[in-house]
Amino acid sequence: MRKLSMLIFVASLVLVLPVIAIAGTWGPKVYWSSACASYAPYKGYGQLYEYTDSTGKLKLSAKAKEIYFTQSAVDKIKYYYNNGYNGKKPLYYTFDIAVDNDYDTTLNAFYYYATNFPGYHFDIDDDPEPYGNGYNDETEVVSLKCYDIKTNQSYYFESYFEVKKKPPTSSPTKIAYSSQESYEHWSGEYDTMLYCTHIRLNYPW
Amino acid sequence: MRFKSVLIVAAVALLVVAGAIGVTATQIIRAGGDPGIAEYQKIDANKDGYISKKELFAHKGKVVNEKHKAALEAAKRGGKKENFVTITFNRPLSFEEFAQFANETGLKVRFYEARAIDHQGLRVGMGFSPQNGKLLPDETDFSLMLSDPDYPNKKRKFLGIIDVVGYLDVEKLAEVQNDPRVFLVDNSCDELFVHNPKHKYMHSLYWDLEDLGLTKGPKYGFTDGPKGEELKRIMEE
Repeated sequence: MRKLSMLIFVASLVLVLPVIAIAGTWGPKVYWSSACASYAPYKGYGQLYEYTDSTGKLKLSAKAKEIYFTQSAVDKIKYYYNNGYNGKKPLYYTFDIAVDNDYDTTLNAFYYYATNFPGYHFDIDDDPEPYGNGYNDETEVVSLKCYDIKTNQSYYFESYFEVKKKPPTSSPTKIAYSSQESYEHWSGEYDTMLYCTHIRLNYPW
Repeated sequence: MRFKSVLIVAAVALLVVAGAIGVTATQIIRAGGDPGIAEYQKIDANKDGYISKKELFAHKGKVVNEKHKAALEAAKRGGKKENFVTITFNRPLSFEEFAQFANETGLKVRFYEARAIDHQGLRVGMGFSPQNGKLLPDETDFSLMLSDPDYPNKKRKFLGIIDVVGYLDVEKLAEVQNDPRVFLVDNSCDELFVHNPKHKYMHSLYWDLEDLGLTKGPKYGFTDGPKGEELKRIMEE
């Protein structure tokens, strides 16, 4: 009986998915068109999508799309990987989507993501350090093969959050999209050596 | 002369105390660390950025021959009965196969990843976690992850589940390692080996298996990854 239920569920994922119309609302596309640091992508956009899942739970998908690098940014990423910075190496290019306020209680990331960055390693954090406040507010993808980032390819990182408490439009939750160069701290933790923020998006918009 | 001896003893004692304080402080700071990437980095023994076939299998041998045994011995001495593991599969598993795998092994799943291909031929990683007691993803979330409004006629092609992170009964390490669907049950990030209170996970080896052509099942021509002379070098290294 259990096996039959599983078969029906899997079949529904495969067969019914193409015809599912997701009820949701797109926020505006917010573009950036210049690099905020020498290693950062020169263009891309961020967009939020609010939707209700099949159990009625309100969720938010934070998408960073159409991310492009110049040749000089690609060279800089390789340089940091091979030579490091301030005596620390290698440095890995990292894209981060995080709620600005470490004490936020509106959103909670739940380990759903999609990305095409080379050698991606997904990480999630509950800030502030060290113990957080019970809400996962930071999501990032560390490109462990960042030397394979190319100029002519479009990269993306999409991160998913549960909406625990929808904020009013008058006091929106701010979500920052940032590029980083991460290194291994002497304590063993992977930490940010360099970072710059491309855009900030408001939820609700 | 006697004063000199006292001075030497005092200096040595001071050094020992300072060392102990230093070690303790380091341990406390490390308690907040993230060993997932650091442990993965160690596999690349020659530090050329690529994990060669030789390095990959050296790591696998070390994990299976040393870390699995150490975990089993620790459990026999009254230590932890479960290890925090990253299991890299040999090939993408369908949702049904993956659910069956989790059921058979008793793995307490925390997080798992799938492989898809996008409109450019690039490899896509998709992450999922059990929600409300359901192992497999919510169909709305999953459908959203496969779609790309910028390319409405080119959905991401889903291949299957490629790795899983969770807690495994130490007694089952060998059995799961010998499962034909599995490349490696990696317990390198278990607290038995590194300080990992935040349960940061050992990086999956699936990308490296793909780069080295070591995955089983159908082969896909990804746009990314090493090719030609570069690939030859990694294979022969």
